[in-house]
Amino acid sequence: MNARARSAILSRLRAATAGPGLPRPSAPVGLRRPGRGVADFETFAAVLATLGPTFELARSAEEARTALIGTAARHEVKTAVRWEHPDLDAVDAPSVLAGAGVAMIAPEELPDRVCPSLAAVDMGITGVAYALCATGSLILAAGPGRERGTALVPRLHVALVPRSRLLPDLPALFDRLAGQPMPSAVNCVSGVSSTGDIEFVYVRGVHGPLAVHVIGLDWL
Amino acid sequence: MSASKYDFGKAAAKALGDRESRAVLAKAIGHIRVLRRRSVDAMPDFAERRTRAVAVREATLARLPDLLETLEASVTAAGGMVHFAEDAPSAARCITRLLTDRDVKLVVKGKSMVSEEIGLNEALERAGIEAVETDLGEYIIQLAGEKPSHILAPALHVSKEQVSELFDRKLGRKSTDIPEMTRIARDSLRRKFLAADAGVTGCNIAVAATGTVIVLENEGNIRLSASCPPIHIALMSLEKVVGTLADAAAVLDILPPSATGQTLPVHLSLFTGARREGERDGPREMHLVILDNGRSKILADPLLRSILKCIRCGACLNVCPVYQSVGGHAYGSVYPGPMGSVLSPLLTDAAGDARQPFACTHCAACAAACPAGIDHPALLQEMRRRLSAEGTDAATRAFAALARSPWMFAGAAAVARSADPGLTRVAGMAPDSPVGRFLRGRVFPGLSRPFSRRFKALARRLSRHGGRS
Repeated sequence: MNARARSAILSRLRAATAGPGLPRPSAPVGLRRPGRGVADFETFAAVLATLGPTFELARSAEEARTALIGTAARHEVKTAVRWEHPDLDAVDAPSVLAGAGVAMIAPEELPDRVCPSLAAVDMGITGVAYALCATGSLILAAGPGRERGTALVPRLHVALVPRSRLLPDLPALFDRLAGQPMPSAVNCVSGVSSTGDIEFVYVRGVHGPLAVHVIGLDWL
Repeated sequence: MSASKYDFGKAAAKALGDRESRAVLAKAIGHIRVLRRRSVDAMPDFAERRTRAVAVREATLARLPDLLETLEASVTAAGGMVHFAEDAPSAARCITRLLTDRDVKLVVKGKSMVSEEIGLNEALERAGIEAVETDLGEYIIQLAGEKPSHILAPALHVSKEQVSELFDRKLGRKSTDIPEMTRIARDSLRRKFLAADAGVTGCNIAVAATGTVIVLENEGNIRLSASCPPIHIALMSLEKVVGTLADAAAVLDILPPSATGQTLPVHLSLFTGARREGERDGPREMHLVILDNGRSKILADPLLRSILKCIRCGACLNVCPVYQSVGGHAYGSVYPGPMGSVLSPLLTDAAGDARQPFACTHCAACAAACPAGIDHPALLQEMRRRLSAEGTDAATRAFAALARSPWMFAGAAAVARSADPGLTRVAGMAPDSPVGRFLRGRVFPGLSRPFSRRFKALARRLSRHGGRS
């Protein structure tokens, strides 16, 4: 049934495009301003602040560790799930948090159905593939050890963003993405989830994490 | 364009009489307009963005069959499965079968107008599958047993008092505070996300080269629906495809600003196939259902095909004086407003009044607002012409005959003048017949002096008031 529908639809479309009046396909449309524009923590932090997340800049691994412990304490974090990611290792995040009394869950300890198992976990800590300065966006790419649920289900999401991963804007991101195989999921997250569905009253914290904290790694 | 029983005129008159709903609608539309002013009007390069996006949409129409074949190959290569559906019932059947074959009991749904178009919720209910809408607006609509009234903000017509009453009745939770009501919905829906066997979402853009489904949202419910359950089914109408990631970027340059006044929504997600080797979450199965439902016929129609450039931003609804007055429900079809008045009658299944193209004042505000370069009034004009050619009532035919002959028209006007000023009153008392309904449905202009004699004074007044009467 599906094969018949497929060939019927495609052949009707072919007949339609062969007919008169359709503009000839123009030259490919390139990216708006590919890869140019500012990419620094000042711009990123200024935009991020308008979208709900909080930000602090760490100038050394030591400062980043202090920031992590402070964040966990501020948000009363008892349990946390983490990604397997070089930027987390660069600041020793797993052992630092464990040392501060947070029960850490490593990717390999996760059960078959990840999301339900994270419902009661307080914090998800991840790296990023990139971060976009113009829109304050965190780019999360799924992969082995980089579960989608980690940044999505716990009530707090903490992201470590090295300076080398800053990009100016969305066109720059799409330029990078086009040059490599697409991951199964790429999430471009700009701020804390929100809604205006009841009388356009703006409410933050609908379905994703209720709070997002970004720690900039200035030396990386 | 087949005749239908639904009567837009009656529904519109009823909507116009509902003061409370009109106030809620006016407030919402006013709000959307401010958002748009702050984004689109404040973007110095919006005209350039629009030109690029229109070029992408036109390229899509010119290469549609090739793009769909490439999309199918790319999705399959990424571990997904593609299903083509001729019409609404076969799309609903396809999804229902996918779910029943896998013994799915609970489905979480992201907001999708195509899902409304194919009547998916009703089909799933008949199959004994619980389908929960997870967009807050859609959730409210589903609890209330209603239909969306706006393609972007489905519960735009519902007041907070009504939501409060609904949550009390359906969820047993009392609150009149909007943030608290949002939290109640979060708690209630979270249980569904985590327990669901499958997630069904729409698709804003599909990228042929990579097999990527792109969805935009602020709440995070689509991201949860596509990430947590073991099965993800994405549903798209076939014209949503573009060639490359660069093409998608060009559409993304105009879609969120035109829709919600944002540069980017909170969640922009790119899903490519199912979970890969070594990944611990994400759907084990990913299906993409591609719906035609009359669109291939629209593409074959040189005068109407440009409606397929539509990116469903809703900008045309928000500026339309008819939509703003009667609201989305009065149209009686899945797609309301200017884009809906063109699209709904052309689709194979989209309930409503076949005469929806007449629900337009030709003010052209929609065409000015449309970021995809669609000239809705021109399309509506053509559809009206075809509907008239199909046949119309005796009185309209008589009027048309008169209007074609200057001296007969002058003679008839002289007769009408003698009846003025009581014409409208007299017409209002006309008996219930085809001619009577024609007369009763109209407000007649003052005819006591011919227009040709009034014209000079009128022109003087216009020039004094800078073109306004």
